[in-house]
Amino acid sequence: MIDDSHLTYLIAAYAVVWLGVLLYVTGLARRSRNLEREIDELRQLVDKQP
Amino acid sequence: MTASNLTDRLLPPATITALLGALYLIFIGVPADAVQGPVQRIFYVHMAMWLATFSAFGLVGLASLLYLWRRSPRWDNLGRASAELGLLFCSLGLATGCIWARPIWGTWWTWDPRLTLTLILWMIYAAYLLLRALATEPTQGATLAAILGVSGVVDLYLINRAVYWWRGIHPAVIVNREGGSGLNDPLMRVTLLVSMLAFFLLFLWLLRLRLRTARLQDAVDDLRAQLAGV
Repeated sequence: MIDDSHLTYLIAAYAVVWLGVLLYVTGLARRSRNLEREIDELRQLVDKQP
Repeated sequence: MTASNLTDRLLPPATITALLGALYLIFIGVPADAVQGPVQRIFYVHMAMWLATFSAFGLVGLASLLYLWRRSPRWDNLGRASAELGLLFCSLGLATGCIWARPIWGTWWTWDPRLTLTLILWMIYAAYLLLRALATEPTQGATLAAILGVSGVVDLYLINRAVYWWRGIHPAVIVNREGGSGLNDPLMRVTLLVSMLAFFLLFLWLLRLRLRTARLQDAVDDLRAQLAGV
């Protein structure tokens, strides 16, 4: 039953988990950066309002 | 220093330490399973995904109930953030399950009751997030999503009971459960617990980061309303 080729499945499972988490964190960081930039731009516009 | 600041400072190092400890135990510390060989080590991360998934979707249910009762955007933000993370961990749980099933069951997927109910769970919370994304009227979208968020908790209960009620082929991993294959070596149980703790901490850390993004989005919405003179 035990087969060394099963190692591929083990590596694949952990790769999927870490890739998934990494992609999510990267996306979240990008969203945060974009929102922070947008807040700065909007604040400047608000400050310019009479 | 407030409790929130303290959590922000302690959570990242605690999560990283727990994750490194779990990886050490999984790949070096724990003995190999005599029957399944190396693929059994997938269980340690697979089970951890389900603890994070159940915590996240359970929190969605609670936040949804509180939103329907109080109508506070705070609960709506918590529900939405938690649903997003629940869907991430649920997707990873399904993926690791499929990868484990291929060499052990000889198939990537089977319509076992627990697996089927888990796929339904994934669909419920994917619908929750789609509803939020596509709603033209935010309050109405939040209300409908909250109803869906509460109803999804029923599926969580069914998934938990599925191995007892319908006798599918999905194994019960935890020892002492009826029909459980069990983790007989004490180090296997420790490894599973450390892995579950590590991914639970990761869930909490990501939740705090996602809630920060939600607060930034609220600030953008407020500033836009201010500019529009609302």
